[in-house]
Amino acid sequence: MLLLEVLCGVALGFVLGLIPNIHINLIGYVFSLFGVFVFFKENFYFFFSLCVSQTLTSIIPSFIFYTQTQDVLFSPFLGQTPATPSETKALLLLSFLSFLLGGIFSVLFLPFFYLLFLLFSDFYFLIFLILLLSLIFLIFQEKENSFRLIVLAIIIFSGTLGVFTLKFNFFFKEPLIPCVFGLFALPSILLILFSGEKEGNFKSKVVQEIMCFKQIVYLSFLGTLFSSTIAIFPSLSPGLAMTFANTFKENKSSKETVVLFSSILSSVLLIYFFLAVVFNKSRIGFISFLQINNILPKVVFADVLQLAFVFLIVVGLTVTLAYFCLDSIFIELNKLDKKTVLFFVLMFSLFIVFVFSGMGGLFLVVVSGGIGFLPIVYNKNRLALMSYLILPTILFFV
Amino acid sequence: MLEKYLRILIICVCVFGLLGLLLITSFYNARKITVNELLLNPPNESIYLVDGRIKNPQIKSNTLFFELCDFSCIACVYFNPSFGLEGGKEISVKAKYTTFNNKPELIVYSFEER
Repeated sequence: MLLLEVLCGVALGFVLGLIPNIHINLIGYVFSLFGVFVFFKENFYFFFSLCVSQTLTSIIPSFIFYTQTQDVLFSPFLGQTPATPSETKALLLLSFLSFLLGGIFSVLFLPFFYLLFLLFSDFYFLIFLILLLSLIFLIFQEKENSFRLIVLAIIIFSGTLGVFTLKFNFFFKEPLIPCVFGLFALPSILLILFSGEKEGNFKSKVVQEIMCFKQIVYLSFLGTLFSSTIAIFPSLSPGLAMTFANTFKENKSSKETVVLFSSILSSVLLIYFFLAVVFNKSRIGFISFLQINNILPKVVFADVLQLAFVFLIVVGLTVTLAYFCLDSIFIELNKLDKKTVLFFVLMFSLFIVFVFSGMGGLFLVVVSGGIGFLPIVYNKNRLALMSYLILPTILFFV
Repeated sequence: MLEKYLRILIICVCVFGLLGLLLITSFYNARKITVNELLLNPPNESIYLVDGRIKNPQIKSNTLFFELCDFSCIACVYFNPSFGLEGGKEISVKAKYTTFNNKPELIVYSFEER
C-alpha cells in the first residue's frame, strides 16, 4: 500500500511539476477546492511523494520557460544567458545529481537539525534578530547607496503589504494566494508574455565550465547545511539559503549556482516535513493543508526513519523518471507555444485567486504585481520581496 | 522614454494600493456585537467589536490566549502581547470571527477599555 501511494504521488507530482510557474501551494489550494484532502485522509505518503516530486520536477519548466531576470526563486540561475538545448540538458543533469546528493545529506543531517531546532526554536529574540539581519543583508548586498535605497523601498513596500494582509487582515479571504502569485509569478509571466524574444533564439556560451564530482559534493553539502539552518527560522526561503551560501563563494559560476540551489531545494523538503511531523510546525502552505486536514501522522522514532527512507525513494524515483524522460519532455515542451501555455497558466491562477479570495483578491494581485515588478524594472534581487513574509514575522517576535 | 512612464505607473500602483489598504484598515468601522449574538452566527471571517469579560488569560509561545464571556464564552487569541490581562475585567476587542480546529475563535487585533 505504501509503495502504491509513493508511486501514485511521484507520478502525479511529476506531471504537475511540468506545468510552468505552478507552485505546490497553488496545487494545495486546488486540492482543497475539490476536497482531495478529505477523500485521502489516510494517505500521507501520497501527498508527501507528490509534494517532493512536483517541487523537484518543476525545475525542468523553469529552465525551458526561462526569462532573464535577477530572480533566484523561480529561475535561480542568476545572470545566465539562455542556453542551447544541449547546455540546458547538461545543467538539468547536474541539477538531478544535486537533488540526490542534497537528499542523502539531508537524511544524514536530521539528528543535527533536530538538536538545532530544539536549541533555538523558542529563542524568540534570536529569531527576530536573524530575520532583521536577513533584511539588512539584502540591503547591504548592493554596492551603491542609491541601489540600497531601492532595495529598502522594495522591502518596505512588500513588508507593508504583508502587514496589511497577514497581520491586520480585515477584508481579504486567503490573501496569501493573490499576494504570493502577484509578487513572484505574475511579473515573470507578464515579462515573457510581452517580451519580443523569438523562440529558439539561443545564445551559446563561449566558456565551457567544468566541475569535478568533489566540487559538486562540497556544494551540495554546503547547500544542505544552509537549508537545515534556515528552516529553523519562519518565513526564510530556500532562495535566501542560497544567497547566504553564496557568500562563501565569491566567484560562482552558473553551474555552481545550479548545484547549490538544487541541493537546497531537495534537502529543505525533507526538513520541512520533519518539522511538521515531529514539531508540528508548518513552513509551507501545502503542509499547512495536511496539518489542517489531520493528514500528518503522529510519529515515533521508527516513523521518522520511514519518512527519511521514503524521501530517498521518492527523490530517486523522480530523478530516474526525469532522467529517462528528459529528451521526450524537451521535445514535447518545445513543441508548445510558450506564450500560449503561460497565458493559460495566468488565467488559471487568476481563476483560483477569484474562487478563493473574490474581487478583493484581484485587487491584491494588481498591488502585489506592481510591487513584484519593482525588482525587475530596477534590476535588483527579487529576494527582497520575501519581506512580505519576513516583516509580519518580525512584528510577531519583536 | 516609455520605460520611464512604466516605472512611474508601477510605483503609483504600489503607493496608491498600499495607501488605500492603510486608509480602509484605519477607518474601518467594525459592527458592535455581544458574544452571545456572535455565537448565533457561523464564523464568517468578518471583523467585529465584541464586548465581554475576560476569563482564563494565559500567555504561551508569545501568544495570549483567553476567553471572552457574557452568557456564553468564545476562545480568543492575541499574537505578540506586550502586556498581561486580568481575569474578570470587562473589555471590548476588535477581532476577526474565524475558526480554529473547527471551533469558533476570535483573532484579536486591538483592545478597547469599556
